[in-house]
Amino acid sequence: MPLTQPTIALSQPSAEEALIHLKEVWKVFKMPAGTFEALKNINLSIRGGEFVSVTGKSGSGKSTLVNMITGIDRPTRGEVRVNGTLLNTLSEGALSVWRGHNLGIVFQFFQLLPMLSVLENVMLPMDFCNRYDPAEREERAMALLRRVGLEKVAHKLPAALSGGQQQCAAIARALANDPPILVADEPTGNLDSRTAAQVMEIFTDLVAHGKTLVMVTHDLSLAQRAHRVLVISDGELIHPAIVATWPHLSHTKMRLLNRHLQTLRLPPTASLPACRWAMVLEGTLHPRPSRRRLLARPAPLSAGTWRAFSHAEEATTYTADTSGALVLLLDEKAWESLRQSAPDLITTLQNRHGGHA
Amino acid sequence: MLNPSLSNSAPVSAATPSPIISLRGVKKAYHTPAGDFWALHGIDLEVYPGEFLGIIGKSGAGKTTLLNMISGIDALTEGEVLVNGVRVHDLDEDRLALWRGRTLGVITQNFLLMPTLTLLENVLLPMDFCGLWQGRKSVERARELLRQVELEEHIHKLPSAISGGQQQRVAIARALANDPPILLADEPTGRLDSGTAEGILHIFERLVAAGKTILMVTHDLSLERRFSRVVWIADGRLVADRQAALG
Amino acid sequence: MMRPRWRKVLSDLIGNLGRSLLVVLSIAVGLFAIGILITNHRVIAEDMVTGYRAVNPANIMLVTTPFDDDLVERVKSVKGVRDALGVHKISLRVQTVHGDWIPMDFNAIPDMGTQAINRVHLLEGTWPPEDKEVVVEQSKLSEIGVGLGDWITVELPSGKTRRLHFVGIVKDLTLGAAAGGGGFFLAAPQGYITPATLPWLDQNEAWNTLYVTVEEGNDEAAIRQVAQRVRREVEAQGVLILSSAVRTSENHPNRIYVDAVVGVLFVLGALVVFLSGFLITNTLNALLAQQMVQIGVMKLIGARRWQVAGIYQVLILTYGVLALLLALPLSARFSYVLLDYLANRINLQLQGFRVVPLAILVQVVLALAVPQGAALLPILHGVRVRIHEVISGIRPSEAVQTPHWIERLQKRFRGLPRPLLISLRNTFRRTQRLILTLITLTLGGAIFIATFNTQAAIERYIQQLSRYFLADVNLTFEAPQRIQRVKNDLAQVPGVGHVEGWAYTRADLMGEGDQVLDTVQLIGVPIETTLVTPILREGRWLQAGDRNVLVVNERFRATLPNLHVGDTLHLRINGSERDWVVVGFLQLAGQNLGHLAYVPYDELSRQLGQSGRGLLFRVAADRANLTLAEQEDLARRVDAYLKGRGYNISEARAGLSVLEKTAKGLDVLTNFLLILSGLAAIVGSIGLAGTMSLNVMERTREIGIMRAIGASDGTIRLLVIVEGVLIGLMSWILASLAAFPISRLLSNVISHAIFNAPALFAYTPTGFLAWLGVVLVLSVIASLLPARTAVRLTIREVLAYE
Repeated sequence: MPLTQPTIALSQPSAEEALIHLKEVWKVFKMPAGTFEALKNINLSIRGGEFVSVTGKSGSGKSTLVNMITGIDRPTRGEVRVNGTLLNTLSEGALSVWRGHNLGIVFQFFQLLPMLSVLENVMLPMDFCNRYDPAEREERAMALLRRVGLEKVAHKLPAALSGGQQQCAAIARALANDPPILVADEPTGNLDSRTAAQVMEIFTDLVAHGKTLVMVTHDLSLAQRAHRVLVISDGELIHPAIVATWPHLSHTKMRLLNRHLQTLRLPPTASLPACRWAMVLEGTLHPRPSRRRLLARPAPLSAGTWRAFSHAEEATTYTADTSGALVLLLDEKAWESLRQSAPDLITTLQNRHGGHA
Repeated sequence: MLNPSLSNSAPVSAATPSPIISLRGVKKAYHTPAGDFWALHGIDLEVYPGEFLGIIGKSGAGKTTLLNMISGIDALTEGEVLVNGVRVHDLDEDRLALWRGRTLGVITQNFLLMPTLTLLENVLLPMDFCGLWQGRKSVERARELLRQVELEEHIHKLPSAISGGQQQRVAIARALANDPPILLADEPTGRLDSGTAEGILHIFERLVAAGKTILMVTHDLSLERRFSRVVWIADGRLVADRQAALG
Repeated sequence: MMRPRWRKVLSDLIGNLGRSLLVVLSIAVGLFAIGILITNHRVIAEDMVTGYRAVNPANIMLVTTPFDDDLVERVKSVKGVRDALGVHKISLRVQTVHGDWIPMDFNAIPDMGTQAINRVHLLEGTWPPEDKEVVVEQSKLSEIGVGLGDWITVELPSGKTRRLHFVGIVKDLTLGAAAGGGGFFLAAPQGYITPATLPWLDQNEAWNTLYVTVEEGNDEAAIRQVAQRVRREVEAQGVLILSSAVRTSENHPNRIYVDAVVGVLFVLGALVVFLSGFLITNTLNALLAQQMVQIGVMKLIGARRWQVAGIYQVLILTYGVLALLLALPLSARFSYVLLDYLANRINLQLQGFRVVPLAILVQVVLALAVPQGAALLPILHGVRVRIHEVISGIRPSEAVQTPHWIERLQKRFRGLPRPLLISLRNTFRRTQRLILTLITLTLGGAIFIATFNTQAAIERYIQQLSRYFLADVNLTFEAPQRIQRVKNDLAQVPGVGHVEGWAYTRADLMGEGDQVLDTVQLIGVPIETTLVTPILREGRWLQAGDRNVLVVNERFRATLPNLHVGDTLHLRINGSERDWVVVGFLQLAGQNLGHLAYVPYDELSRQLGQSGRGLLFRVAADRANLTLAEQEDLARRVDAYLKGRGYNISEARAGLSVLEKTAKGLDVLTNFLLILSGLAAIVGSIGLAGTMSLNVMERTREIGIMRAIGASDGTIRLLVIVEGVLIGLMSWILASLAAFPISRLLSNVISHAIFNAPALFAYTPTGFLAWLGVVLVLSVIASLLPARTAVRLTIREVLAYE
């Protein structure tokens, strides 16, 4: 399966077109040692058919974030809407049933039921959700097992299979009810590199056939095979533009930058406000031709390109065209604050202006 | 700064020739109904006193298995492990446990504190089991260790009442209870946020400076430059071994 | 400061109070039960003997024609006699608080203050009574219903009434000792008066009953020898002996019930010891399974196997001690509650609260030694745990061995819903564990079913006894009456239907060489009688053409162990001896009712010279199925009418009431068994609930997975319940099977004690169904409750490390 270079989106799909939508989601754990904010003001939209990877260090909140999407945990504040359903309105039992119809989950430790054969494990979700005619279920399960190459071991117990085989069985089980969304939490965490590669192949194939896949991993190389890489650091979702533009930046710096950035939607023909740095996400910014300058007109800023300004006023010379623009910017105060706490970050922002592929 | 009087480890000397840990041809196979799975394919490794050794690799690469060979908590299939002059796998189970309690301090990702004992009691436990119990003196020592990891106000609390980072610090204090020369740490920062993880690494660096030998397993590549030496492991084999530049 | 490893023991105890409580309770419950069983077993047998001996009971009891103190002195000097007492016994009618007239036995005893023989215990009021006063025995007092301090109205033979002042209540352990009277339960209310009161009651003052105590009071053969000599002395003085009985000084009248109780306690005690052992093992297994990670950690930081084992042995020892501290006082306390209950019902005198060393010893062994033994294997298994497996948080793939027969069974039931397969296979996953669990549950259930069964079986027997009491009214006259005349008169009473007149006498059962063995009650019934249909054990009932034949009751075999159908008994009636042939053995209500035999009316009445007359009459109403109230009403009307016609009636009693009195002793047993079965139910239930709960708590991971892949609440609940119910049902089947031999054993133990014969009934469905109900309800509750908590917490933990 040839690996196509995934396009890295700079912005998120809007709420309307999103299959998965988290709005202002907070998760706070109360523990004897105090409160712990696992998720801070998460806003996330995932379109149908997207392959999104969620990365971050252990303890960053990626598992918690995914738990919000699967309904296994509830947000302290905010809204979670998946496939049209507001998850916070469902009871535990209803969530369980909803999960069976809408999600397939692949766990790090496979979590097959040890007393059922592989085939029976795959059929189980169909039984729980009463999907498909009972007579068809075995057929369908075998077909799924064939797809992951396990048809020969269908009647064996999980204990008789290797780790890789068990994970493939788990994937087949996740597909049992043909859910639109697949969630995988460190799916290759317990596999050797060869099997891990096999599993990733299956995943990319599934995505190519229209499934939405949310995959949690701490392995950056795996993460970058996704359409979109989400980075969580200490409970905050880093703006995808940052992740896309500077993927090797330390998470601390990403977080810092994340906190200082502002997002602004420019109406058609509006000009950029005074700021020290701006990056265009959508649309194009055209510089006003300067009568004073005899130098060449600076290039317009298209989506994905950024510019640092030596003084804030300079920014105002840029205007959006008739379709408006979406920009990220750092104002004077933010710029100074960044200069104080992370001067090398400033260098990064200044040094390489331009765009990325 | 760690109190040097509590440590009996020799200071680091670059000219020390003999390794404190020596692995020769170490192989480990797991026999499963699906067939034999070789976790380690013949590891040769020598660790010198005072090293802060990082063992880096992906999950499933064999890092934990390697540590388990050194600590003796899992059996060898082939090869030899020498730690501090002792052929680890020649010892019977009980002697091995005693030796381990006196020679190694083990720290893991899950902290592994005894949930029904206070922090103080947790740190005292290894002294009791290894025949090093001296009553009030031991209690004093435990308090001092907890002071050094900045937990003296919490010594009578249960592990469930403190955060993950604090629990790991207790685990470190416990690992030091019998003043072992070697510490084995398996993904010690795995479940901690970046700030707390930093604190733990800082403690390790202090311990190394005081003369301990520390082997730390991690999958986090960004920690690479914190170690004095790094070995990479992939699919059960050592694929690289790099000494960090001094200074 | 305490060494850290002992701190771990302490904190394990305190840290998880719920679990500690469960463990302590599991141990304590068995101790408690065994303590009660052993204490009762010991005390009741001992106290019966000690108590009875202490009242200096008569070894020889003779009912005679009148005699005086002169004879008493002569008897005192007979060889082997220790002491002798002459007493005047008379039965007179007294009026109950409801206005009915019932017979009451009055005992006029000389020198009541010194109480030479057959001492009584004063309970309330004063002893001895003065002239014209009466002291009443407590066990039958309720039949009269008069309060202490009031007056009891007595009807003299002439019809006049006198009022005796009721001044005291006593307990008389010898009640029922004279077998001719029908034993304790059938005895009439007893009153004690001064001899000087007798003339006031129109009675002569001569003695008519002789009580003799013998030097060797515990040797029945010796007593019989002395009895021979006493009889000769009495007869030599021209006094006729109407009936006689001998009894050793340790042979309490209700001994058979004590024997029955003791036998039951022994059987159950042994079973409960086993049950307790298994219950403890089960609980400790589960306890140690939860400690696996901690054991791994301790071994990691340097603990050797013996150190780890030591920690758990001390922990378990502590649990044992706590259980002991809980059970010892509780079992002692409750033992005496049970003992008091029994003592009151069967007229025993308890010698007071005391400690039974054996009970304590067994409880100590059970609390300390058994848990250590039971935990030995789990500890050995636990200390061998592989450190790297338990601390990594990754469960090693569990090799699940589905037994072949299960797989074959499943192929038969292809249509079985897959979720139920999970339950089915889960149940059989760990065979060893399952077997241990099943044994525990089975034992508990079997004990309950057997006890309950036995109780129900006795009740069924009591209902069978009604066949002896088919008459609605039992009528007894003072003297034999002409049957036809009585029938004609009774025909005038509305509601009276069929009437039969029976002959009655006491006869001497003769043994070797002119020795009188005992007194026999002979009841002469018409061959075509419809008012008694006996429970035959051997041989046959009376039939046309029978002359000198007898159908005898269970007591005969006790006196003559080799008696068979066809053998001859030598009876002396009114001085003349005849041979009678035994044609059948019937079973009545126990050996303590004395020797009783049914003979043909024609033959007996002819021998008594009372042809055409009867002493006992049995009256059936003109319609069937009268209630007790209706029978009593009929009895009152019969009594009033006949009195009006000038008859002297000794007693007119409702048939159901006689049945109740007769079966009273058996009734005590059924209640006793009911209490024991309640005890067994508690022990069994705790075992069941505890085991089920622990089972479910280990399922948390799987429940989490199923919640993650779409199982609804209902499905999860169903799965958990099915597994619980499956185990419960299997245990019920096994318990039912095990209950058969145990029921049989218990029933036989009781039956041999009471009837000297194997049990007629051993099984009824009641016990089985009752336990099924208990099992189903408990299985569901004990599975559901832990499942609910498990479901809420698990999913997050499932996704992360364990």
